[in-house]
Amino acid sequence: MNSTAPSGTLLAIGLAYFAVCAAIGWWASRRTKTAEDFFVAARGIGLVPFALAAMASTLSGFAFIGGPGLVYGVGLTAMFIILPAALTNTYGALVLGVRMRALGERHRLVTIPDAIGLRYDSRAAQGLSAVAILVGVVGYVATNVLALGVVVHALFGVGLVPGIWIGAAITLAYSAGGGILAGIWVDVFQGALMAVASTIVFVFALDSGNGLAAITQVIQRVDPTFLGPWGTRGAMVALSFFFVFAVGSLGQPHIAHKYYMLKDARRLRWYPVLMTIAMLLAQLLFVGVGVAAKALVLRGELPAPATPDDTTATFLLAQVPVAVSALVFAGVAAAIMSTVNSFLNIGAAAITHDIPKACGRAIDPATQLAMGRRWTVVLSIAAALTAMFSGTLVAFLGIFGYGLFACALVPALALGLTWEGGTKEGALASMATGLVLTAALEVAAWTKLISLPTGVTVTGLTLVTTMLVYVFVSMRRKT
Amino acid sequence: MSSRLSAPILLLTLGLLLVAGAYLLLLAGSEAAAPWLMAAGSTLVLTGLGLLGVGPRRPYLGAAVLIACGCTFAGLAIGLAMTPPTADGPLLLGLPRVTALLLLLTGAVPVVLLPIAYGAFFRREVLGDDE
Repeated sequence: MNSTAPSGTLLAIGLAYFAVCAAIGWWASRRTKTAEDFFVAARGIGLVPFALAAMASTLSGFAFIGGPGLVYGVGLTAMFIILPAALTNTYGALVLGVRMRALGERHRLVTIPDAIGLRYDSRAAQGLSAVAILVGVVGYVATNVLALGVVVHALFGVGLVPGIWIGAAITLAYSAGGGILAGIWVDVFQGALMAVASTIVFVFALDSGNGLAAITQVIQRVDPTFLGPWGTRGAMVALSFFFVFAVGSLGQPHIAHKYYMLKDARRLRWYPVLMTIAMLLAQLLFVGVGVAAKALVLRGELPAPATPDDTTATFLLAQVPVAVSALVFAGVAAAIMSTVNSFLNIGAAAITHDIPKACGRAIDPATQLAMGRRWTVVLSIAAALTAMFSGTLVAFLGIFGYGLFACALVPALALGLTWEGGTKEGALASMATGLVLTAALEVAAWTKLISLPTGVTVTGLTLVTTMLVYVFVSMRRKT
Repeated sequence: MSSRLSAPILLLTLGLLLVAGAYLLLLAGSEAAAPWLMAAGSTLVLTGLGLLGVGPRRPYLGAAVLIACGCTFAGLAIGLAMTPPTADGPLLLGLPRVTALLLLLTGAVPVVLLPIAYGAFFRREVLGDDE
């Protein structure tokens, strides 16, 4: 995002946004009195807040910044990152929804490793999944905190490093005070803001290009592959995205964890409809801005963005009123903060609940609440420091986090809850394979020790391997 | 829960093997068949996962998953089989025709069908499925 001097409107809307987040966080923090409030929102969330919170947590800043930039760069190849949502919005409910909700209520579960430990009757499985979550959380949060610093700087012109600490401090204030209860209610505001901002910008994007057909014709004349079915990177890259994001979505712990919080299983009935509408609206910007910006640049009506990540900012500054730009910047901050809050919460739960339980030293709920707050602070500071000092490593950490969650948790959780043939040995083998392969291959690829052909990704390779390991080890070893 | 050796787990395993085959072909430097293996494999994995999620003896939701995944594969197959769009090729809904067909089948059909089917058959086939 460009570092321009912020206008009064930008400042005012930015301040109003953070003030509303702080007020909701303060209100919810006063209601957080137990570990169940802190980690599973007292299992009292209704359908609309549940769907909005799930949507807000699913979409990080990538949906508003990285995604449109990727569309601008590679055309419809990038569309295959969000296309699986056509299936996965319902698959989450089908595969995990009622099962997680029922397990949570019956056995007072508060974390994803709790469910894995219960399913396999194995403290080792609970501990290993907690370790996988913890390793992924630090990297993922660091990536998002860095992006938040960029947004805070764009809104207030304070510089990147102060932006990182301001953004982290505001998110931390309600995450540590009110845990996931505060997070859910702030998410409701943030999710609504993201959907509204995305929809408005999509209308501006279509209008600026004189409609989709006109945009298409301009782009087709220069590069017919851009809006071709697979974009400029070809079928294998697109299909690899499709596989990883379709299957990997079932292993994202910050989303799966939310099923525990639903007040009543019957409220899940229309969750996929609501989630689908919310996601469709929030992702309009992802495709709309990238495609419209490409057409406008080709027509000479928009300067080419300096980097793909500047696409959204370049488009907003040139094509929409400043108040709408401010709304989008607030929407980006919302997307990032909602994701960070969810990850801080599950990271703190892994440390204060799962790992002690796996070691046979379960901590009492009152102590867990106090420790949960303290560890939320520690994780937040660790993420901000990582964002400040890790340089280009931070982008690697984000990819690593998503991949690790998918590879380590999809087999043990999604297959484990639905297939009675799954065994403890299968779960342990798949999680260990996911941890080791993701770390080894991602590091080797990042340090250029290995070079994978176009269309082959570390996450894709590791995901298919861990799922096969789970199935075959389970079939060989009957528990 | 689905039993140890059920159709969904066999579909899922076959799909995983096809995806693995696609990656192995690319790693071996052969690109021709890899996208077809990837499209078929991804769809079979999703079909298996969806049917595992639905559980046994839930015919309506099972049918919805099969239709959605069938359309998903049809969309991907159209993208692979049809001639790539050209600068002056025909448009459908403002997009190159082949792209629009892919998005309609892989995106629009599942995005409408699955959530509505889930809501419509929730009481009959989902509630109580809390194994």
